[in-house]
Amino acid sequence: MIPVCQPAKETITGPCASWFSTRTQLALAACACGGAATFLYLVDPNRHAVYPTCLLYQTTGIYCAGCGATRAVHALLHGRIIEALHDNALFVLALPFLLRMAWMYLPAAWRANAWPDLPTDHRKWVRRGVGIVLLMLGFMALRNLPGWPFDWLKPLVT
Amino acid sequence: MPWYYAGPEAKPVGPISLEELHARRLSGTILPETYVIEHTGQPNDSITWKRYREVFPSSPNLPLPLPPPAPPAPQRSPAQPHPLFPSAASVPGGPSPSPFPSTPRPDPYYATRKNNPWCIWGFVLGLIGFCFALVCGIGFFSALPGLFLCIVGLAQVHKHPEQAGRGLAISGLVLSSLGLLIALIFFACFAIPVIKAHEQTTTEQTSNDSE
Repeated sequence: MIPVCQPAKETITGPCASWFSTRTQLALAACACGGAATFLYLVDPNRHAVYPTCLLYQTTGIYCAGCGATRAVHALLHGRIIEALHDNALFVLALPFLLRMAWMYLPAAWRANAWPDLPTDHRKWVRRGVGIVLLMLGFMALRNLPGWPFDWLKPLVT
Repeated sequence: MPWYYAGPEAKPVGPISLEELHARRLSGTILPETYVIEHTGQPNDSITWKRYREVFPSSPNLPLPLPPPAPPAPQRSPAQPHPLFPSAASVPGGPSPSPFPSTPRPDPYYATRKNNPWCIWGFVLGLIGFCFALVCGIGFFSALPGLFLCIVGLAQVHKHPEQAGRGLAISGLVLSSLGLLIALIFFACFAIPVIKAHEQTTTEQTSNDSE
């Protein structure tokens, strides 16, 4: 009787594999995104103070890399691109790349009803992440500088 | 002496003799990482599979397995450049004109290794948390579960060496720790008004005392 190769017997269970199927997760995420977009379209961040304010801005007056993103989404949903760029230029310029990534991964995940296997070369993604964070740091430094060209990077506070 | 080793899809291959096992190690069918077991059918036999290099620690003296024979390249006349890399062939005495690296020999056991899902999710959440830590510190809520998942994944990979994902988990651990650090700087701003109020009360107290 040949012993069964033990390593092959091990079954791998993920952290949340059995809770929802991937399609359910995707549908829930789509519902959340749709609800958030509807709320952002209807409620103007410039008029209503229902949105949480950035802690860093609240206490120190320094704009972080994401400050103004809520206003930018509101302006984009209403089709005011220049105003959105003024609110958070980095976010608006990064949006096409984010949408392209979602378009690459999410339909495949829906069709296969499974999350796509991670690329084996995860170092590439680490390098990309470091690059994104350095970009954000640079943007954060620029938008907090006084003077004419940098005023353009500050969110419009009305 | 019947020996077995983990073949494709971790199916045991055997029984083979010890000499045959070493011969297959030399030919490259068995790698140092491949699981092997000696099984004679006795009830007191070990039922744990061990790696070849654990069972035969002195085997590094063996010559390295020969690289697989290069696939027969289509014969081209030297004057004709490579269709994809025309400049490669034109260099006399340069690197080999074939632009494709020789594919590594598929490991019969490790070809089936899968990344541990805890490591994958920990890495993904850590990366997202690291990237979004500078956005008002919201990356905190992704980096914290990422850290947890990476630690669990590291423990699982340590316990089950047949699962891949150690590099993923370590990268995720570093990324989520950095994300947490950045996000905590943001959240530390909560303390600023409290500290200011405290300073004010203490200065008032000291001024009252001096009066």
